[in-house]
Amino acid sequence: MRVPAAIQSATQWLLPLFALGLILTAIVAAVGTLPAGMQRVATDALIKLLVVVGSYIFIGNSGVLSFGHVSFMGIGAYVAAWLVISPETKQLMLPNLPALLMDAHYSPTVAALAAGAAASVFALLVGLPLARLSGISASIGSFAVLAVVNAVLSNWTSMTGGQGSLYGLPSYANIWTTLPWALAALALAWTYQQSRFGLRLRGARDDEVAAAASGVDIWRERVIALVVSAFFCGVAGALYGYFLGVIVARSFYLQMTFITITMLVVGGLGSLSGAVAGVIVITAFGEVLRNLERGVDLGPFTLGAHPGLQELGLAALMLIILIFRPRGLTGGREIALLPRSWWKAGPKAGEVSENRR
Amino acid sequence: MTLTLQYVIDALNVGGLYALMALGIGLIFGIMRLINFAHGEMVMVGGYAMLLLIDLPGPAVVGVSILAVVALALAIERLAFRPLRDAAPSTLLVASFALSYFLQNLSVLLFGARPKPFVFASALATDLQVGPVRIALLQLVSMGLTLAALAGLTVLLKRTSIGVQLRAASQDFRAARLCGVRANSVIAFAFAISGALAWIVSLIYSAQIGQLSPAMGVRPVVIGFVATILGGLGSLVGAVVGGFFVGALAVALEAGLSLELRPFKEAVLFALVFLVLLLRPQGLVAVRALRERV
Amino acid sequence: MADPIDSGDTPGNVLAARQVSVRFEGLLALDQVSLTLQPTEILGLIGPNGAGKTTLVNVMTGFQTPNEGRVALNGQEINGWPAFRIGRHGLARTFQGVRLFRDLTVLENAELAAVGMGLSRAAARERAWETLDLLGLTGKALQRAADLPYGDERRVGIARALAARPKYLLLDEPAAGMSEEEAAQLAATVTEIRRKFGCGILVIEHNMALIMELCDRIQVLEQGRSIAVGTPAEIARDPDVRRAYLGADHDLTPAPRVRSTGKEAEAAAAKAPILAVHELKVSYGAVAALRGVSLRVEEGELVSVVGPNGAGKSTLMHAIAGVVTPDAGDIALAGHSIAALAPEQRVRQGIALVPEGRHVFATLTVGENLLIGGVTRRRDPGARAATERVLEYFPILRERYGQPAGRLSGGEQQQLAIARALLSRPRLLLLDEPSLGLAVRIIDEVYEILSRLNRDGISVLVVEQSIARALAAAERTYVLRNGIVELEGGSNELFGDSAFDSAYFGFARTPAHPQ
Repeated sequence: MRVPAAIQSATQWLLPLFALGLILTAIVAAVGTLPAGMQRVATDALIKLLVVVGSYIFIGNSGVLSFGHVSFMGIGAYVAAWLVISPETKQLMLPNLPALLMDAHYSPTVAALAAGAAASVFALLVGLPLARLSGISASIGSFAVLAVVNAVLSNWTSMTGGQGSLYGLPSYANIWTTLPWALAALALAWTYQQSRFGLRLRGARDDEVAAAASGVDIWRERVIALVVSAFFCGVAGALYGYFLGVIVARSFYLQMTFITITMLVVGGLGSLSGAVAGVIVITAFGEVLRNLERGVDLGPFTLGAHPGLQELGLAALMLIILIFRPRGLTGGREIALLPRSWWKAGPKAGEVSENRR
Repeated sequence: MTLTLQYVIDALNVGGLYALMALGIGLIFGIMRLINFAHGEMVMVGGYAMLLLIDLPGPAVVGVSILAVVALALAIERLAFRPLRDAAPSTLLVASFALSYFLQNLSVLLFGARPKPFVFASALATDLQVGPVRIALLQLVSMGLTLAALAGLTVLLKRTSIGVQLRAASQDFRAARLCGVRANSVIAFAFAISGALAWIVSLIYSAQIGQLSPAMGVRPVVIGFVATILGGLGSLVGAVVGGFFVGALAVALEAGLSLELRPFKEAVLFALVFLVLLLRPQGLVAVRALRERV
Repeated sequence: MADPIDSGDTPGNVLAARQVSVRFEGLLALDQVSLTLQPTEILGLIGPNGAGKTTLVNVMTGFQTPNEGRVALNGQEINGWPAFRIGRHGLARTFQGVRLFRDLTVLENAELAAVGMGLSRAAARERAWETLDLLGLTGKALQRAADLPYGDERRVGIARALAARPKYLLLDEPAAGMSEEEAAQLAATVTEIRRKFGCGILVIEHNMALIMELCDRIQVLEQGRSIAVGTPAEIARDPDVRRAYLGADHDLTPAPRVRSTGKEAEAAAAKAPILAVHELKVSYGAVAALRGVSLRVEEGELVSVVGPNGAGKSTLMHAIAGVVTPDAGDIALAGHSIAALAPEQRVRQGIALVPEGRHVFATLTVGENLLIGGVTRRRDPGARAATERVLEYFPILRERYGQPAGRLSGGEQQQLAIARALLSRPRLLLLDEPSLGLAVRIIDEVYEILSRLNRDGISVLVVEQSIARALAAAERTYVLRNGIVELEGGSNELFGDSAFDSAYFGFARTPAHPQ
């Protein structure tokens, strides 16, 4: 029996993806008219968007709260650094680097792709055991991964410069160079979630037992999701290096984890629209707070400089959202451009009377 | 031989500290299935409280700062965690993470981000020679405090009504309520004890490192966390065992690893957590099967 | 007469479990059970609560590893296979608790099973749509599963299993909570499924009418053992089966009850009942567990509640004790509403629940357990004396005073649970299936104690699995089915009433049966 056209197109849902892409491009275009300072904020936000969308691919679809995505970002950053910094500069900073890496000198784009690939390979290795865990064990395990990677990056001085910074990265990242990556991430995240892989994983998120009974190999689906999500986190790491011109191990630890998790949770863990919404809201909120932090002249009053206010405000916001709207601003739903009643096949008003909530 | 004895003493010292941290975390987990990241901030607040009161006579410093930390613990419970009592475990985890961050940055706002020197009872800085080993007086005091705390907690949990109620609620919260145990009282009690334990850690830890900073609680809480998991989430005995185990391991790694590998000892600890979660998720001690009924 | 089960080699092309045993911490859930499901046959699996039916299905579908025994699917041994692999090889199931993917739409729920078999999304959608059409669910295709009304949830669960186009379909209580008409429709649907897809179907059910009508063969489990296999007619005549359900190994006549007369009785009748439950409605998400239950317990009475699995008996107890919040309805203790009180406050008002499964604090000693029980009364002047009195009821606990409660036997734990509840000096004692998992002799002792307590003035409301037990002990009995009270009456009247069978089993007693 043929599926009615209304259901087919309704369940295609390509529209939300276009909507998100359009919104993002529009915002970037608008920011392009603003001074350089704001553009830098936007670039930073786009890079974080990559991380958030990357982590969403795993967290949103599997329901497993992972703390480890920033470790993929860190690995990506250092891999990109090895490949993109000129051999002369590397000679000065990391004299003991193996020849293969020492002589490498690639374009930023190639290095970014390699960063993503490296992060994915790492995710595969870590994911094979990690995907066997569920619930809080998985969260703790992912935290352990983050801690181990940070410990290694901070201490493997010969390869990473240890606690010190690596400089010499090209300043390649601006809003126009990062936007394509962000759009690509959105497209892939959407495709994944609409694919049979995404569907299987989301079933497992809702009920592991029923999913297994329906033939879903939960472990395999989780590994796949983790590998895909790590790619974008790795690329984001590379871009972050290009953005700052300098990378240091402690950038890829608790503070970055906190910001990106906040963005995802505030926007709504369960949907791609939530990831995007979260980044936009938190960036805006953060900017407001940062200006307050510097001290601001409010006419008759002058608010003194208060460092730490930005982080404080973000943490407070996260707590408030968790208490009052735990599913986030979007409530886990995607942007719905067309109301349900528009489709004939949908439920009629009043049909559902025995609904017990 | 002397070296081994020295290591044993170091291990006991460090292990005791981690055991106290693990207990503080484990108490809350047992009763609420919540991993309280903010426990580290309670340690931090204890330190700053003592610093603020440093000009007062010793007993006053101790008394008031304990009260401050316990008050903070109760406030955290009432304001942040009670509204979330029925939330999913992942929500609780993220909330406690956010709370920890909040408190750290509040401290930055109030005290500034730079470390402040902390000197308390400077007489304790001397070393003693006891037979073949050299012990810092501070180490002796901290071991004594740790033992006293463990003993006190045992008495509290076994001999007082509220202590027995706490153990019952940790085992089976619903059944305890059905017997008339007041949920709010028992949870508040757990947080208060957890706060007291955090204060003891803050005293020992601050004195040992000699300074205070807003993020000083992060390292202890993460290690305490590791210890709780290794020992077995949900078991108080496991938390203590886990603490001493991690202490011993940390000292052994420090001694045993070659100089280049020594900074990686934290990596080793976390890798161990990962392995335990994978192979023996119930931990070294606890025998708790959490299996979903199909 | 029980059919002998072929113990020879498993012929190919069946789903077979052979000599399966499962042990849970000392309890033998399944004892050498064998079952064969032929392709295209409809086999019913019945038995009282705790018989092991779901455990057997869990073993066959890979969710439970048996201690002994083998399972074969179309000639291939599937012991030790992970559940998803078994699912992919043509064995699909539904669940007692339905377990829909709540955040996915109905269509996606069905799609998922198809996608689980390896289909592309487009192909899966086609198949899902077809399957939904067969079950009349296409109108709800885009509704989120969490928003479904109760009646539809189970059908969606069946649609989901069917979307995998299985060779064997295992349905776990598919008709629970359905009305007569819905159940009849379900029977028609299942027959249609068999005709259209040619799969072997196993049905676990308590609705006897449905089972009798639908199945080619029926197998009966009791306390982990298979006690009968045969055609519906054979099973209906089987005395073992009837005994298993009603637990009629004992003296069936209820004990004579001494009722006070005259002025006392009038005074008693004028008082408010110690417990009055009015139109109680409870639901878990979209699952309606109680659909308007009303009952009362007069002061000094011993009242029982019986009913098949899934009737809502435990939910009722939990609602009265305060553990679950009802959607509607009221609960009053001695005339005062307690609906707004937390569980620990209700204990202080005089209600104590002995929960199903006892729930003693295993790592605490017996003494400490009793301490917890008496926590609401610990400042009372007579606290010590109260503990002494309780220990008189249960001398074995005095012996075991210092031992961890987890080491006690099942019967001893039950006594501890009751003692613990008594220490809060309840006016009303609630017990949820006190006989579960206990030997007959122990159950006798427990009920002996309950009668004593009742005579000493404590009102008792007990949920019981064993009907004979309930009718013998209680003055009045309520029969709960599908979340409402189907029947109520004095035990003397109920016993021997054919309406009782209808209410409990869903069908009238066969005339060929004695009494």
